[in-house]
Amino acid sequence: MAGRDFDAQVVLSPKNSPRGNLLSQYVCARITRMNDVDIGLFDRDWNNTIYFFIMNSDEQIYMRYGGREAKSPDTYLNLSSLELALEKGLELHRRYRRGELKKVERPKPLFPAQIPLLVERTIARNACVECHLIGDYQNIQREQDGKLDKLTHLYRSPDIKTLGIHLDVPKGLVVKEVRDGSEAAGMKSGDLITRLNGTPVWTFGDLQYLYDKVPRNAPRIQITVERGREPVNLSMALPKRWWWTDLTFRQWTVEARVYFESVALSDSEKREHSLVEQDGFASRVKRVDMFAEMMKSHELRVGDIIFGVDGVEHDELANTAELFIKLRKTAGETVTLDVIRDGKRMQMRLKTYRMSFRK
Amino acid sequence: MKTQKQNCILYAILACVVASVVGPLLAQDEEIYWLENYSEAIREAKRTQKPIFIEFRCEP
Repeated sequence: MAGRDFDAQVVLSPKNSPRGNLLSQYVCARITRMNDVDIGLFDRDWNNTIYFFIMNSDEQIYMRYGGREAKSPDTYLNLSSLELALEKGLELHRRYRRGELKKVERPKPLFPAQIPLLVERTIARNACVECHLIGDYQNIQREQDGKLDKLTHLYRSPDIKTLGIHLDVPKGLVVKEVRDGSEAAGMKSGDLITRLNGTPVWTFGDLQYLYDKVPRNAPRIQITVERGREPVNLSMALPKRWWWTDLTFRQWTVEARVYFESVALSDSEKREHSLVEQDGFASRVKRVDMFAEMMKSHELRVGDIIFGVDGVEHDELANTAELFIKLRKTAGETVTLDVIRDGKRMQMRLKTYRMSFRK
Repeated sequence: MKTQKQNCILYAILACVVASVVGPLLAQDEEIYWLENYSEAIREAKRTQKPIFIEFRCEP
């Protein structure tokens, strides 16, 4: 179970251990029921089942600890980096008490009881308001109210690896390896990431939370690193779809379930099949989920090329038919696919589903 | 002989009672105390001037 071991190791830290000594200098709290939690103040991607904040009694948040990537919820949970965060938290608290840190405006309070769907489905039934339910019902509510922006509301844990940044996780924000965009921007192994777009970051949790706040159409971000005790500013180009992550692990999401995976065709493959090249989302099916047959969702086979959805063949954001459906269609909708199978063009129906059960 | 045996039993019972009372207290003292209420954490932080480390854990 995600975070269970880490949770136990933190909570059961012996007082006479280095971590216990650090924790003893804090008021420690562990909240397992979200019913009365101010989700405005403690905003995050609600698909983190474990998340920490270091703050003070004025409700000023010094830093966050947690965060995840699609393939694992545990990648960035590490006792050594947590100890670094706890040490930094004590330092920031001393500076705050000396008046050296500017007080920031507290986010507007928002409680689960203010989200009607969440009340209807959990609180009114005396059920626990689980973290992921907060995110899911917020989004379903937004969808019903016509306020859902899928790019910002669904994809809340953008992956820094899309920039080629690989961290030395036990050392917090020390960079272990750079590739692609980060390498092109001049980031180096051993750099310590200190700011994103000018705002200080102390942990991966801070970095991912701020990365998520970057407008989805932003062309670049500014990352400041410490190199040999000197700050170095790096301007990094954001790749197309930098915000995208695989959401299939999530529950009750408003993202349409399509029960197949596809990979974008190369330009030469598109030419070979006389398909739209510029922004064309023609893609080859690489996996068909067993639920497709069970749910009678579609009859796609591995190797099929999908080049159109409801007559549309290109999109400025989606590079595959799979992503086009997820971004542009509502869960539960039925669409018509244009497909090439064994060189022959055909059309077929695909019914999308909304995941409505808990794993 | 009988008195000696009775004393042994008495000491054994006393040892068990002391262990059952003092043991958990010592154990508690060796572990970090975690509050389960946010308002209480704020009050305690105001009183002690300590920062707060708060964990949100969704338990299945």
